[in-house]
Amino acid sequence: MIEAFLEGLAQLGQPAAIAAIVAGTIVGVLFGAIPGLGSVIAMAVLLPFTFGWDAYIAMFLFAGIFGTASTGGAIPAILLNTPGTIANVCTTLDGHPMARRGEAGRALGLAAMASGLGTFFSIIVLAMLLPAAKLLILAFGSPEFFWLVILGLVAVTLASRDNLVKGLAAGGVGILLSLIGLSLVFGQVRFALDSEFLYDGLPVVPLVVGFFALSELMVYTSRGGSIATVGEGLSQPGIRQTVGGALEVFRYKRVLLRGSIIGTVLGAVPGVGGAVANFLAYTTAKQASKTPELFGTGYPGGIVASESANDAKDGGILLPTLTFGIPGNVEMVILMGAFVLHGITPGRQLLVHNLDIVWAIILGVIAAQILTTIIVVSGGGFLAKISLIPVRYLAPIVAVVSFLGVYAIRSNPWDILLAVVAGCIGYLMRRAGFPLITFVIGFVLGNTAERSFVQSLQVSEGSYTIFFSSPISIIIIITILIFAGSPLIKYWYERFTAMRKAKLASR
Amino acid sequence: MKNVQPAVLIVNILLLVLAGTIVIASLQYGFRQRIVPLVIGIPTLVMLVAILLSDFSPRLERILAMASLGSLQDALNEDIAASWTRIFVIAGWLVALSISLFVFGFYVTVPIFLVAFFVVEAKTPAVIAVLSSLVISAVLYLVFPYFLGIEIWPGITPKVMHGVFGGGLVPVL
Repeated sequence: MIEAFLEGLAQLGQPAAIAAIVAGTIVGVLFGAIPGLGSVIAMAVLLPFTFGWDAYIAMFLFAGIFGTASTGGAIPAILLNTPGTIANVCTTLDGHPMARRGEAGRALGLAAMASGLGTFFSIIVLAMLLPAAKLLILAFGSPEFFWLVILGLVAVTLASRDNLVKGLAAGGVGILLSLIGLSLVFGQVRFALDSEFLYDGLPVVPLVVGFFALSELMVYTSRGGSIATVGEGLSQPGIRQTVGGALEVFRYKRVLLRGSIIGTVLGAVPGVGGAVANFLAYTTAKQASKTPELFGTGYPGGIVASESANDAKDGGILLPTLTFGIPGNVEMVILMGAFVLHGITPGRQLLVHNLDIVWAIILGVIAAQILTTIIVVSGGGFLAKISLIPVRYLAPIVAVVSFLGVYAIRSNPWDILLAVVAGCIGYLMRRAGFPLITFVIGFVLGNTAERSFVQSLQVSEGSYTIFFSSPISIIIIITILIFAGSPLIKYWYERFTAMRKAKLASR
Repeated sequence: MKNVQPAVLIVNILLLVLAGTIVIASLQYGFRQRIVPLVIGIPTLVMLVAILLSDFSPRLERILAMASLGSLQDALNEDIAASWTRIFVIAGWLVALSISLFVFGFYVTVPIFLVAFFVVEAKTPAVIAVLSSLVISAVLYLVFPYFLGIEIWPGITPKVMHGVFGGGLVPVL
């Protein structure tokens, strides 16, 4: 183990390795920062170019990309209220109000430092858990996956706003739309209306870009002015503000630790990933806070919770990929493709024969995250000034880049039109009070929910008791009930308290 | 009866139609194939119907608000509300851009769109608008086709210049 670690460390010191990490980090931050692109496209596009490279160098490049994209995604989330990646959605809730108050630099500093510390936490956990990883992964079967998805949806609804009914309804419609197209569980095409476009289902990227980037663009451009309205007495974004924000993270140690733990644990569960971790960490931080009403108004703790969790998932998500060859998400699928391309057998053999590669990836993620934190903290003031540019100049550029990103994924021009339709529907949904977040997360997790549900029934030969038979399932169900019931409990508690006060006053 | 907002009504009906269509269509499939659409779809439909009716019934709205810890009306994001005229104008720009991209491709549409938007919406002098659009277009084309090797859509018009203007094959819908 130590020999492999030292070998990985020695490789990291090579000039080519440093260049690969720097390149990967820049690409990761940039692709993460451009809504609709993200690390998947960056890794997919660069994968063929690494053919013939030294395996270490290729791994450093990919570690740089997937380890930093969600930190890059915090930049547009804070400045433009448009999450660069789906895992940055909750960062918008507090990051953007801060940007609008002229505290964009502070928000970026908070996000960068929380991301960096979240990654370190998860990577340390990964290094410690590598030997015992098997037990952790095998504890989660199909029923646990199913409940975890449901927990994610309920958490998302509560995270978005307190309107549980509209949130759940939007999430439900999202799940239903995700069922359109070829089902890998049944090998059957459903709800596709004989359309070739719908054969593989509705594409997620045009929907996400339309809902978040284009609907936001409509809001801002129709309003005019700049994204940030720097108030009187508030400082302009600058390096001092960004560094101050970065140091402020240490005032939210509990939130940071909780977010990092949630991110690491959920990251380790394949198919769940950063988005759910992000939502769950935010909701938990809000519920545990003495001042929950501050969340969503530009509260630093909200950014710390969101960003620590979405970056902590990087360590967690490597666990099933490196130990069992189970890719936790699409980035990991591409990383496994890179293994094959470079003659490395993914799965348990990796730990036996290529432990040095495992350490190279782990060290690469750490190096890239340090670099990203430095880039965002030192360049945060400059990046934050984007929020002061009048939107009439930004809007057409954002629109064009979004459409390019949408088209680049599948080279299908219909996706461009779908993105516009999604943008218009997204705007109307926002105006009608339906949270887009729950809709999109329902759409993203819908297939996982169905697959887990059906597989569970197949295993139990049709018995529904399988969903309530394991201790992990029970714990998740109780958590769901607490989350879902919390508005009612809070309502009745407040009503009871008010009635009691009224009675006391009448005496 | 309350003063119902048209946007709220339209979205409620749209979501209801989407969910209803999938739930009804699922009935043609076998038990396993339809169980999740029904398990998720029926409660979703119930919630959507309740939300729709709450637009007309203040009493129902109060009941839903109790379950949601807050008035449904409070959930309306007033922060995003702008005049419908402006929204239609901006939506018009986006629709025009997307259709133009589809028909004429990125190479032709992007510079023209940027100039038009800068001149009409941003009130930028024409010369600056043209120069800005050329610089931005050049950067985009350097990044996407050259750096990343992503071929960009040339449009569906008859081929004028290979890979740049026209001749794109539209995938079957």
